[in-house]
Amino acid sequence: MKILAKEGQIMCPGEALASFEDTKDLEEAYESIEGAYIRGKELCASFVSKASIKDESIRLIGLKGIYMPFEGDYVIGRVIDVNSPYWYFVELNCPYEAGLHIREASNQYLDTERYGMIHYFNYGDVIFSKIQKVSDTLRIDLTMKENGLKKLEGGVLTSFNPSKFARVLGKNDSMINMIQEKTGTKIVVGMNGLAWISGKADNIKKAKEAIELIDSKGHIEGLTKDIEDMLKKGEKK
Amino acid sequence: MTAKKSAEKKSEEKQSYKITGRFDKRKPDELRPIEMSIGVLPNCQGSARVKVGETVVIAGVYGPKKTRPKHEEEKDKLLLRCYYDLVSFSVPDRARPGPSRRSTELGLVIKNALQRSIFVEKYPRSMVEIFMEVIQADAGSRCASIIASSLALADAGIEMKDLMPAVACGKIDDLICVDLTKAEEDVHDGGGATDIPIAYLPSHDEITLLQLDGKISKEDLMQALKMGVDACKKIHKQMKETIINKYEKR
Repeated sequence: MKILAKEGQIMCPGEALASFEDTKDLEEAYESIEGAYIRGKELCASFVSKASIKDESIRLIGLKGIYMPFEGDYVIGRVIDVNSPYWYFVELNCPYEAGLHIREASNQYLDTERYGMIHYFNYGDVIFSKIQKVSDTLRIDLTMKENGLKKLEGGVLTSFNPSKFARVLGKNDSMINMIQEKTGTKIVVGMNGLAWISGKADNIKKAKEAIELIDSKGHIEGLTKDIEDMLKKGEKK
Repeated sequence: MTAKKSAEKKSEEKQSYKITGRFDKRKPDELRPIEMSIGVLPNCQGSARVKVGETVVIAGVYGPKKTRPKHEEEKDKLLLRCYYDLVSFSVPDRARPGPSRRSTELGLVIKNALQRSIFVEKYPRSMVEIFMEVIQADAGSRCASIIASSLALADAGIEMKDLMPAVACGKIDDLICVDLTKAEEDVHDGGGATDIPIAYLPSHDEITLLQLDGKISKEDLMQALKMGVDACKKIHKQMKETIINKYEKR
């Protein structure tokens, strides 16, 4: 394998990452790198990203991307349909709608004919849930049967680029914990590029600004210091 | 006047109209100055502004999103829709707002060209809409639209094989050149003008759009295409620089 990209290089679609002599190695590398495709004997980037090369292993960090659902992802969604019997339909900031069956909405039995579907969730409600299953045709099933999964009430929903999810959380959730501590807010982050912030109006504004800063400067080193400085400035005011 | 003398006179007239150089003193293989920027519209997923000489195009990308109407949904691939539009004040004679036969045709050819550069199978059952607004037109608006759309798609984070440059090559009288202006396209003297817009996928060495308006011999066409492909490679380099500059400057 010959690595053609440099560490930290901004990759455009079609730019070669590495060339391989052995087809088996090429296919193995293709399966391990998200956002790459095979062209001849080369592995190329398929979207605007930053190359990260450590010990002969290549990774592409997306600078902008679209959320594609995977099983086990924790996501924030908005209920958009409560009229179907036994099903809630949820918008997930991705091209596909998700379905939440009433049996997955709660552990308790609900007589829908007596109480109606809106007993649990109504149109426009924001929920924090987990993707239970994604079919081959990208039909998404959600579940709420896990600790911490709930309806989110009283906060503000903000969006960021799904490719910056890891940066918003930080190492061992350090970044999001720091923002929560310094702004006095409670934040729930979904892997689909949505974050829910609750707290006082001024604090929500500060937390939202911090997430926007991560969204715009997420690919630059020293981001934690920038966020700290930004939040300190807010404290002085 | 005899027929022979008349023919001689016509031949002399044709000789006197012979075009020896370009109107704006460019070399035959020289492009007009090109300016590109991405992320110019905050309300859509991806956007780009491209200025080629006096031609200005803004493109915005929405999606991938749920396909509407649902019966147009493709089970195994992405549905791409392209809308090309001339703003009323973009041309000397006011352009009538709304869709026209020309804009529908251009939307279709641009869609067919761009589809080759996108991994459509990665986004089944979804739809991407590209809106291209020509703010100022001075020939080459479809090529500028393709460049802007390709940059906007990359800015939206959609997975692509490569960025797609486009340029018009052609012939003014006997002079084979690239990136014709409106004045050059409108030449009727001598051999007249031939306009050949092309879009090119550099990494796959593939021409994805090829139209021809005028008359040209096979040899001249091959030469014009060669010049067009070389010009596309230059534009492709600039497109890459535009993306890199956006993220490195921050």
